[in-house]
Amino acid sequence: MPVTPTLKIKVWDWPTRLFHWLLVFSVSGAWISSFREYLLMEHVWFGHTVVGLLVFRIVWGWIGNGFARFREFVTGPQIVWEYAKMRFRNKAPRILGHNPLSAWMTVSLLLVLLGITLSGAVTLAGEEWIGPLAKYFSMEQGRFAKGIHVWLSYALLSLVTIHVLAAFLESFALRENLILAMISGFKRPPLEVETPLEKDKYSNGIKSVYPDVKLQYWFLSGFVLVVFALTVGVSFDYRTPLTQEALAEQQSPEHQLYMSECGSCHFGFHPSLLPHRSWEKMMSDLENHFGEDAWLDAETTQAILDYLGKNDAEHFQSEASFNLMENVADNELPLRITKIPYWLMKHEEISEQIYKRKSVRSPLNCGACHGYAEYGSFEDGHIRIPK
Amino acid sequence: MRFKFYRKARYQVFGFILVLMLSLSFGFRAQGQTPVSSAAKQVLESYLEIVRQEKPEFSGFDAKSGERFYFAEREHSRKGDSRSCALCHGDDPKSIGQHFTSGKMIKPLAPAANIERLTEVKKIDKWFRRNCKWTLERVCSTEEKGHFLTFLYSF
Repeated sequence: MPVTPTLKIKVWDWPTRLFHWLLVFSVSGAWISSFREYLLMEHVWFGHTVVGLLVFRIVWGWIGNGFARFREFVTGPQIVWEYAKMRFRNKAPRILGHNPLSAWMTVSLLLVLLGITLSGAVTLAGEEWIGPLAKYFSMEQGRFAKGIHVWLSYALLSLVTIHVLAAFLESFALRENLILAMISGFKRPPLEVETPLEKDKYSNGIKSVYPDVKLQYWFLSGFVLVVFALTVGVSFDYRTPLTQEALAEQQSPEHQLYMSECGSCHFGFHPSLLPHRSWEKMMSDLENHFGEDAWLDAETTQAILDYLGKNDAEHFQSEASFNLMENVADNELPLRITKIPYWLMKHEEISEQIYKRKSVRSPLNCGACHGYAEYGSFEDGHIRIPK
Repeated sequence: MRFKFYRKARYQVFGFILVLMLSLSFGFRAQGQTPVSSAAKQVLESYLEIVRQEKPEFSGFDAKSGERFYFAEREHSRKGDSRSCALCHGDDPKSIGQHFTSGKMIKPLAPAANIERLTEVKKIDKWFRRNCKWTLERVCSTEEKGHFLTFLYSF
């Protein structure tokens, strides 16, 4: 049956459309930035955008227009099953908004994204000590969350694949460009088939398109604020001040003594980078300190050893110390941090040329590339290789 | 009329204080030399006493000999490289140096650029002990140390 070309129905309101494409943008960004460790801060930025968008979408699911409200499109298992049976027999009615199957795709995408962002925040706090949650999560919890984060991400990728495939297949099946509909917001009115289900959706949709203009404009400002506050504000704060403040709390007079005595000739290596037995051995023979004489009087030696004892790899667990110690056996006595297998593995790609640069000079000079290395933080986002 | 603002008494007081502070800061700069810290003074006096015991005719430490000592290069017997004070502390003791092997940045050695330098007897002793051994493979003589400190205060 021919359709009057001028008759179109606004199905997707602009906040929903903007939400959809911003989500596409930020999820792709988060996915791409997860391939490289030095893009961690960008990854976090995209993650924040996703959180902002999720908050928006959940609220919009209550107060948005008829096609956007969960109440209008989320149906029970019985209807889903009925619809699925009809759809696979190719007898399903064309539905203007979400059909019962795509409704559940939407809900599961939102839930999986919620899980990914939450586990991501715990990973960031536990593993990298970044952000306001850094104080509340341990290294192990961070690693556990990372496992969940990774597996949920694979789940998301498969869901997205199905979602995109379905959008294409349905576009051909219904002879309507669904991707374009998500851009323009307009859809063809359902004139061909009239079913009770369709009728319901249709009338609901028409009635509730733009139910309250004021509410929408109020929400526009809220939406813009949420997204921008969460993305720009929070993620940029992470880059320095928050992390710096959290780490500065760890400084003590003992730390300063250690840094002035052991950080004058070489970089002040954080105590957590070696186990206690290594520090004991090192402090017992300072006159032959890797071929140099680094003699200290007995009193200072003891004071430093006490400080080391409270902050060594056994007591001060960070991502770096955890990984360094993972493959060091209990009977091994590592003295050079740069000879520990994990260190060597992580620095494989750093060429000799870089170490020869005047700004670096030596692999011992951790702080040349790792911002905050003196606090024991080797967070990926703070790596900057100098020229 | 436009300048009435400046004639108000309280602004004149502010202006006076500002000019005073500026001239004082320039005055300290014009002096050129950094005042010798009490720790360094104490160390230098004891060095002079020790040197005079051996050489009663010794006239006193001078910056020129200290400068020569600072730049004197010496080949290390085991490592084979050529070492001097300037190797790590830089050709200009007023600027930041860099440790030859570890790459660690070293704060300026001259008290003129780094007010914390040479303010503790214990630290002065410690660093002479450690760095004379690193650079020269021996302890430094009292005379050398006196010239060296005098050189650092010449900026």
